[in-house]
Amino acid sequence: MIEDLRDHTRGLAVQADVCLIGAGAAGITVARELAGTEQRVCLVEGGGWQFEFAESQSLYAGTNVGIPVPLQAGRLRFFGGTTNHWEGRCAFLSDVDFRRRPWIPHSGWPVDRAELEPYYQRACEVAGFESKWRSDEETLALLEAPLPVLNPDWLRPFIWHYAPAMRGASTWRWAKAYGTLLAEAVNVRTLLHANFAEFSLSRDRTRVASLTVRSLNGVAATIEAKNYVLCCGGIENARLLLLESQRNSGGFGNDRDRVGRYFMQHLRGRAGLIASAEPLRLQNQFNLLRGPDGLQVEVGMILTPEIMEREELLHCSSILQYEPDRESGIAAAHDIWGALQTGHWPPDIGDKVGRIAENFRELAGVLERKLASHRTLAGSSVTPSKSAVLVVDLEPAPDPESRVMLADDRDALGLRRVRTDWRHGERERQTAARVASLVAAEFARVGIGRTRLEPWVQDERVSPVDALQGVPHYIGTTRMSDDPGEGVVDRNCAVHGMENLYVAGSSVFPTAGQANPTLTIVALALRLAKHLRE
Amino acid sequence: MTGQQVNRRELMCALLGFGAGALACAAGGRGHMGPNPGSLGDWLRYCAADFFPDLTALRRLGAIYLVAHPEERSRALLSRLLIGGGDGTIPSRLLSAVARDWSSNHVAVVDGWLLARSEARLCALLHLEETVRA
Repeated sequence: MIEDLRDHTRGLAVQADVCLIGAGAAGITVARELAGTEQRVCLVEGGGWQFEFAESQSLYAGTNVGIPVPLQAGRLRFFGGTTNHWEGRCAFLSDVDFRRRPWIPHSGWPVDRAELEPYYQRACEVAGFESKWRSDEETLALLEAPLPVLNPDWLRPFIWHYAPAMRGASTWRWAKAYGTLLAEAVNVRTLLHANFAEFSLSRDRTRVASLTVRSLNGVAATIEAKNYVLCCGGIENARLLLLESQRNSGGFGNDRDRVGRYFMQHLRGRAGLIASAEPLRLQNQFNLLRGPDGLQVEVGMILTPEIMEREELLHCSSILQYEPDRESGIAAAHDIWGALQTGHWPPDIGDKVGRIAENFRELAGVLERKLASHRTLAGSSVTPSKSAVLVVDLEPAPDPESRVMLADDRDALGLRRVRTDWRHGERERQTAARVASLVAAEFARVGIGRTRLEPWVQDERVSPVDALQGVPHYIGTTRMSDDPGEGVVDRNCAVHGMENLYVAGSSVFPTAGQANPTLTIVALALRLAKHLRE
Repeated sequence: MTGQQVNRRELMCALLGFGAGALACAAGGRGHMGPNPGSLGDWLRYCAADFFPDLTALRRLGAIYLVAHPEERSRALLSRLLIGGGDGTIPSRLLSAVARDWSSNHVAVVDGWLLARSEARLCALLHLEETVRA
């Protein structure tokens, strides 16, 4: 059942076994797992069914005192959460991401990859993958695009898998996929426009006794549940714990001042331009490709654990991106095809046909590959490019001074807004620069191409803040640790010092790893759902 | 000279020829016929223009490299660093040096371009040879 709190003008009191706060990837996944069980679930979502700026999204406004963080654009506040603009790029974290790495202070998870493995497999199903998840080696073998042999001591190929498209969406959407299931589940009650207002505590202050939620038109609901799970994303989870810790003069995982600290985002930077004698060959190797199951995969490179340890690097990967050559015959063919599909002749048709004729061999080659293998370059990346952009993606190092705090100003519900102080620096620049140099050297060695590196790669005087931009994956603010002095939640994602309050989402990651976080968020949510059921 | 930037087109022409086959061609072709296989400068003057598509761009890179590494501004030193102590023809020794550089990550960034250290030194020698000739 899905209801709008604004319609309950007399207020509402709900009894539940599990109260889930936030309907994004984590909240919907836990609700989906508990649907059809004997557990009574109440899922509260601050937004509505659609994007509404004034009614909901504006509550995400805040201030930055460090490196700017897109507090509004980086997250979405309606049913489905930030998955509503998810790009579908998926990978598992590697073994090394979970390990304590002596050269990275505060690294190490209390669980290892093996612990998450069965949940990763199921997370793929939840994220829309119908076929079995193939290993990188298996996927590469099926791609029919043999890669050059890179120095295995430095780099290895890495595959990102893209979730399937859905009707009306370019990729998998949790709201579309599971909205109906949750609406029809007799044991799940979903309240929209139900914004977090406050927790009330048991007398001994070890349990949440109830949650009050409020709509912006003043309707309140009280939910009494056995367990509560914060599933509001990497910034909001910390903000809500900070609000409650302040209101209750402590507790809520913040007795050691850990909530909101270690705030991280993945970093991405353009590291160089690769000139190749065979650009089309390069595009067939390192690119977005049509994978063996018909879904897109992206082939890139990643550091080996050995070089990470030897050179004390962060985890980092690299991909190539291509600017389509608008003068190519294939670009002309695309233009003509696109115009004809809209019922028009394209402008300059004579010129375009001329370009196709000039580049007929190139066009024929692409068509031949498409007909022969059905595994072509995906989407617009089929258009030839004269050069490739070398892009690096990396994890930041956990830094307790990089943090989410409370601002002094308040939102429409009277709650203090968020203030971020996001930091990264020379260490991240060094890793990114090293990876760029390694890729450039290997590409030169095997004769793929020559790389002109960006100034920041070679010049320490260029600020890493200008070179490496944040990818809006908000991570680490309620980190997982067996030691309450080092983290906010334990290995089961329960808030230290609280018996029935849990956190789901990327805020519990102690380190970001190099992979996009969604599959790990979902895997941890599945694991938490099992814990709650038991 | 050093203030001039090497543009992408020039470098692409030069380096693609340089890295992707010019030395290999030299090893199996005219490189064997040089007047004095022990003298790298002579060999360069004799046959480099046939093998490297854009010598101007390479010389310019060499000039930039020498600004950052003035201690290597010596034809004799560069020749020794490039082919000293090895066996075989000049081109084969150069090829080996470049391959060793890539494997050991002995590289130099010159005007943004990542080069094997031996490639950068070869560019520097080309620049110095040209200077002498002028």
